[in-house]
Amino acid sequence: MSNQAMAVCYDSQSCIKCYSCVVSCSVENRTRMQHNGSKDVMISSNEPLKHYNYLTVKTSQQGVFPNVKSIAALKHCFHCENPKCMDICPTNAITKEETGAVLISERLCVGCQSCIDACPYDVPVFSKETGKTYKCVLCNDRLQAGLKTACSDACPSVAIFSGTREEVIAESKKRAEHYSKVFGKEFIVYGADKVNNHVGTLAYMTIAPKEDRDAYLLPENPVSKTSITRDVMKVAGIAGVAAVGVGIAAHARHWVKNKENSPYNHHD
Amino acid sequence: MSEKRVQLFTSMQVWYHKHIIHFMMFFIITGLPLVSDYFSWIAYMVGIPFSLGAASSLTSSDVLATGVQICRIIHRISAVLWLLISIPFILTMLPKIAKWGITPKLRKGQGVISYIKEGLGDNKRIYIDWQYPKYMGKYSFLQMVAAWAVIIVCIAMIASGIVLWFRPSFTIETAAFMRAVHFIGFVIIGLFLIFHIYFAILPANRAGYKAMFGDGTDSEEHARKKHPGLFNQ
Repeated sequence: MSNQAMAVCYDSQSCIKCYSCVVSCSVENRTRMQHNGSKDVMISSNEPLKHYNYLTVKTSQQGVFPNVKSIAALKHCFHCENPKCMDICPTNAITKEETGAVLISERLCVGCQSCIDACPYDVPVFSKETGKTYKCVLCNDRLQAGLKTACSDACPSVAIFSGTREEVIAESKKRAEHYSKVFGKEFIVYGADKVNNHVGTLAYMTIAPKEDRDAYLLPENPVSKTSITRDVMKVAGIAGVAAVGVGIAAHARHWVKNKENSPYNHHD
Repeated sequence: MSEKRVQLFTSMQVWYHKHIIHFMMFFIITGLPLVSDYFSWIAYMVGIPFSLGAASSLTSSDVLATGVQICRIIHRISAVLWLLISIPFILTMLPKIAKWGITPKLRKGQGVISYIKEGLGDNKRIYIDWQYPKYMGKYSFLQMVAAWAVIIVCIAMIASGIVLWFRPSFTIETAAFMRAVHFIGFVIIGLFLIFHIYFAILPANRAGYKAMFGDGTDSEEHARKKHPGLFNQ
């Protein structure tokens, strides 16, 4: 079974900027705490618990009146096909589920924040209060129960929609094609196809004008310098140890063959 | 008849060197599980005794997480203790930096290139030809280069380690950069240690090895042959 079975898509053009998705996400996470018994109703309702706000919005306005564009970029985990956060996690606290969700186990996370360094989208958030790292869970429990994600369930304009990957991609591409015709500029479905070899495809996609890609926090070539450095240094380290080992073995052989003539051999 | 002895290493150097071996061992053992999952078994080994008696519902992932967390704690405690014991060492050694023997000492009128050629020639004489050097002072040229490299890398490791410990006080970019510095520094130190241990146990360095793990002295007769530059100055 594919590890990107389900998907969510944010259609930036249908978004009416009501931010119900943000509220719904926060409420759902607080309700989850009550479900699993980790927090009671009072705490989950009244405490700020900022680390449970998995979905945030970065708004900006571009251009000069009357040609002003209002942009609402959603900041959330994209649930990469090749999650770099998972690769770097030393405690295997991060897993890639069959739905496509990349999950951090709160129980196993030791708060080393390696995932923060490894994420090319700068998504995971560290909580000083709990000493652990958090990020969007793609409502994995809801998807498994056949429900929509909390963000898509709350969206009154169906600007966020979820379902099987095939369904979501088909709908996203149809919308992107339509927008391209209507607005006369290219629209992309970011994450439907492989973004690059580093992250692969994404389970949380975005429909946005190609020209506004950066404003929507959708880098063309997302890479994690930390992950690349780590991979390079792992290879360099292994190659270095091998080279040093070979060098030492050759040198030791040279010593054994010549030690009879050496004054060091007779010194005590 | 008792032979005349010369002091190669001070008691402070001998004391610090012995302790640094322990600290390096702790740094490496506790750092490896964080570097790569090839070394998760170390974290498991550390985590198992601490998980005994805990709930029977503990999974192997719980044991791993426990081990990694304990490794992180030991890593940081080792760093603090190492810094603490470094204070008297630095205070004692810094005023005598000129006597460390790791600063190049060019003869009057000698050019840098000529000095480097002489130094490398001595290294070849000792480790390829197995003969005594002609010019070497307390340390060979390549030992001096390695010493400075280690000092610089250690400073980088301390700085990056502090940033990683208190990372919420720094930007994500700074922390990510320092993580790379810490990792690269570890690889350099690791490779250096393999070389260092190998060369330390070579017969050419037997006297130095005994001095470092003994009273810091060598016979003057041998020291004059192995470190002619030390006596010519």
